[in-house]
Formats: sequence, structure tokens, C-alpha cells
Amino acid sequence: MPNQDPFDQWLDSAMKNRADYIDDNGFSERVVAELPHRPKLADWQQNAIVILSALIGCGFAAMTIPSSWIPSLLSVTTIPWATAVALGVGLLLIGSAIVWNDREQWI
Amino acid sequence: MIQETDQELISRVVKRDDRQAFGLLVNRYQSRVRQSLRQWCHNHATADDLAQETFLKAYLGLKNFRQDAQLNSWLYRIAYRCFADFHHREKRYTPLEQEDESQQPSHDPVDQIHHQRDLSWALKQLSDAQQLILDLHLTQGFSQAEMTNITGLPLGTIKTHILRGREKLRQLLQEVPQNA
Repeated sequence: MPNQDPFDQWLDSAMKNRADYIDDNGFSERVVAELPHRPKLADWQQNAIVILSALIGCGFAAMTIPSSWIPSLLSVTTIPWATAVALGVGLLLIGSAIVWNDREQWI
Repeated sequence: MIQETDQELISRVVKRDDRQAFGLLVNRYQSRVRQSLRQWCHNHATADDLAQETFLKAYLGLKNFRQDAQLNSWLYRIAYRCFADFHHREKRYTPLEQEDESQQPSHDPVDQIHHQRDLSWALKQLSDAQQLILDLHLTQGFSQAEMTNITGLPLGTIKTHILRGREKLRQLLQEVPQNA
């Protein structure tokens, strides 16, 4: 800057010049050695496994429901409270699993 | 040998989890990051620990790094958060929004004459916020807009820290060689 105050010019120059290079001295290697291991699977593969496992679990659970309950289950208003709670907990677990799986994205 | 660009190295890390490529990025930026953290912390061991934490967080967050952003500025943002978190943990943190007027320069005339031309001494007389902002601006060359992104502070606050920091340094270093 042509009209810059002489003190400001000196300060700018002095501040730039104090940026001495710090030798690596193994710092990079130490950082790389501390890196956490990433999972081998891609994100979509991990999500697919979580969702498929949950669906298979739900399928097994559905097979254990007595056939006499099916008409009640088809009518939302007559779902027993215990079943509703179980469904809610199931959805919560699936959601938690997905969030936990993707936790690194929120860093 | 042609040096790979940051983007090429980032791509190798994200796509193939190439740790050697990440090591090259660390090697490229370690000096600047460690140097700034040493200025902010005044303790080399703590600064290097925070620098290591910075690069570990960068590694974990690299897949979310926008390719059009500046890696340097992004790394400094992480480093600044690590530094601020450390001070919160240590309960020694002075919020950067506030001026810390408790750190008054020494008024001992002998002491002042002895240190008059010592920029390092003068910088230590500034508040934590002023030191940090002047380091980012004058030593590392970040623009004021980039500093708002790194620190999350409003532009007006950053301008105030720069102005007051410069003025305080001017008072402390009254007889610096003007043609240096």
C-alpha cells in the first residue's frame, strides 16, 4: 500500500518474517500412526446392512405374531399399546443405528 | 518431481483411505498450524498436541470438505476450535468477543527500554484475542472475511481487534526502525 503508515509497513513486514518454518521432525508420521482405522465398507453399504438387518429382524418378529392378532394389527385404532410401544422402540433403534453409523459426519 | 495438488491428495485420502497422501498433507501444513498454535498457546508441547488433534479431526472430516474451499482456511478453523475447546476445558478461556484489558503492559521504564524493540515481547502484552487475530491476519495472511469464517466472530469485532492491536503495538514499540 503506497500511503501506508511507516510503522504499519514495518509491522506487516516484521510479522510476516516471524513465520519461521518448523521442521516436521516426525510430526507427520506420529499423526498418521494415530489415525483411526476406517471401516472397509462404504457408507451406503453400512447403511444397507443396518437397514436389511432391521428388516429381517422385523420379519422374524412378524412371524411370531399369532394369526389371531393380524386383523387387530391391520386396524390402527385397535393396536394393543404394547405392540405400539414395541414398534416405536424398533423404529427408535433403527434410527439410532443409522445415526451412530454416520456419527463421523457431524464432526 | 511434480508435486500433487491438495485436491489430488484429498481425493486419494477420501476415495482410497490413502494414509500416505494424508501424511503428505500434514507435512505440507504442519509448520503453519503448529506455529500459530504455539503463538496462541505460548506452550510448545500443548500446541503440538492441539495440532495433532487438529489433523486427526481433519482426517475424520475430510470426506465432508468442500472441494471449492481453501484447505488452509478449513484447517485453521479446526485448529481454532481445538484451541478454544482446550481453553474452555482448562477454564482459562477469555471469550474473544471481550477485550482483555487485564493484561496491561509493564510500566517499569527500565523494562520498557529493554524490550522496546522486541516484537515478541510486545505481542505478549496484547490480549489473547488481539494476539490471535493479528497472527491470523499479519503472519498467516488471512483476509478479514476468512477470519470471520475461521473464528466465527463478526467482521466488526475482527476489525476492532486489528485496530486496537496495531495501536497497542505502536505504543509499545515507539522507536522501531522505520526503514527496516
